[in-house]
Amino acid sequence: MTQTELVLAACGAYIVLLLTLGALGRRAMSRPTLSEFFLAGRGLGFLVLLLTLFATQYSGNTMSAFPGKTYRSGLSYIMSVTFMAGIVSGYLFFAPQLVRRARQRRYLTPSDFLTDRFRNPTLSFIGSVIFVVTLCNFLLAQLMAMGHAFSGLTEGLVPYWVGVVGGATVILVYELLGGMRAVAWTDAVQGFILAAGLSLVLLLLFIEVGSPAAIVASLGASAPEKIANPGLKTCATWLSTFALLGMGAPLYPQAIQRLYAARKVDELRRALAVMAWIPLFAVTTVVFIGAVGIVLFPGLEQVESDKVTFKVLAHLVEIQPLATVPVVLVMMAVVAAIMSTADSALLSATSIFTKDFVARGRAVDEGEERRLLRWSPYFSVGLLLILGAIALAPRFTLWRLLEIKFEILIQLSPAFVLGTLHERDDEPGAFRAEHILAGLVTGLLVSLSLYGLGMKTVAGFHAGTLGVVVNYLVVFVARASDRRPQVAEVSS
Amino acid sequence: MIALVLVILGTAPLPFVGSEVVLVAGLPLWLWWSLGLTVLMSAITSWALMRLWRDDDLPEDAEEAGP
Repeated sequence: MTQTELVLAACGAYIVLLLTLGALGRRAMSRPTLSEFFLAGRGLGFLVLLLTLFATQYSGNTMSAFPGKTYRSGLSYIMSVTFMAGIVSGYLFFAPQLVRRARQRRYLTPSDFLTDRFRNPTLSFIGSVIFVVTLCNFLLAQLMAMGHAFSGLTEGLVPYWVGVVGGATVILVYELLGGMRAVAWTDAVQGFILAAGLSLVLLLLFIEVGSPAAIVASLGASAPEKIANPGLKTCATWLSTFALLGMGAPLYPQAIQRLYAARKVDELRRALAVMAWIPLFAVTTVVFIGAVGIVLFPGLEQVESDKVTFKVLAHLVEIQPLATVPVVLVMMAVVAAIMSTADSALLSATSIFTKDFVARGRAVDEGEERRLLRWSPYFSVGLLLILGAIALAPRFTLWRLLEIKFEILIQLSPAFVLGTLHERDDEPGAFRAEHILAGLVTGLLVSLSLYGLGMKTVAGFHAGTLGVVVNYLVVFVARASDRRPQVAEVSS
Repeated sequence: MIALVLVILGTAPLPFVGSEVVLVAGLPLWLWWSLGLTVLMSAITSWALMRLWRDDDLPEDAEEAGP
């Protein structure tokens, strides 16, 4: 059996497994309610939570764009370990309060918090639009990555467009069958494959190519600039990317919905506590793959360098035929990482369309929930049709897509971080909807204007990071200059 | 939280800007610095998650209406 045949057989078996889990998720659904479908009945336990958080956070970008970025930037891209660990740190600033409110008031989407806390339709609407735009961006990147992955893994036997359309169809079917339960279970399988695949590739690279010290020695001889002490601008980018991801990624709607879907707070805390350590293994491994790529394949262009993971894996099979089976597992891990992120983004976007836009964020009775659930498949299909069409004519590298979504998502940080400090707008010292809205609009204007003017970074700082600094400043200034009496003051 | 922010800011290898690369156990010293602080950050984060996040799970009948 050739490697391509092995990959095709593994893909076939994997797809059957995903569809089976989708059907099982359908059977496990006790009644047709929004929280059953979109939050797995708020019953996710520790292990499934951990694996689904892992699989959702580590996407196709982690497996292909991160090594590609390491290839271009050198070892300074070890900053990705720091910023991926920082995502979990970012949860500390709002998740405990958010989860408490979500459990008390049965939130379904992230915008439910905005609606409940601020009671300002404009803020809720802008929040929902930002979440949907971010998810569309995310989903588009994963669809493109899926096309490249299937095409690359089968050496062109499966064309790019078949990878996009086929992958999207499989995701759609198991998501429509079992909702969050199916997505979380498939994520758990995908997370396991991802962890096993990364462990194997690390082991193989150590045995067949060399230790990190040996790779650094080779880099020192052939490309010393790739191991040089980072300059001031790189350090600025380091801190800016940290801020961008540390404040932005915890606001991924699909991640927030996993916080809502936890069975117990204790299980959620433990899952996040483990997640805080995972980048030290997972991201260090993908950075190592990129560093190995510099040594093995010098001179790759921008788009080609995004495929460095596949080139390194192909090289491993060339020099060690016994590596075929582990490499196929790693390749499946790449596919798993992409699909698990795509399914979570699709489900989350569908829930936002259903709850925030159709039901307009209000509480609905069980009869209306059933009616809303009948509509949700149309959103999923429509969204995939539009994004699939765009994915068939790609123009950006994966990394550029990743950056754009954070520029806007991060602007919701003050709403969650400062908003969770108080129960309601009328508490003394609370940040009111008007303060948050003023900061949000200003932050969006600053970051999108800079981006539009081609100033994606200024002295190493991302447009989104600069935008969120202005955003926070405006929120604090607006609160300080707000002379309206608060309810507590009026009543006294 | 303040300690966490300080550690986060320290992860960027600012003290090494402009100097020559020094290898320790085969890897650049700035890499050890940044990874070491990242380990510290993960430790503080997991400690804070387990110690500072109070488990205030409510009984089912304490739930309020949706937003």
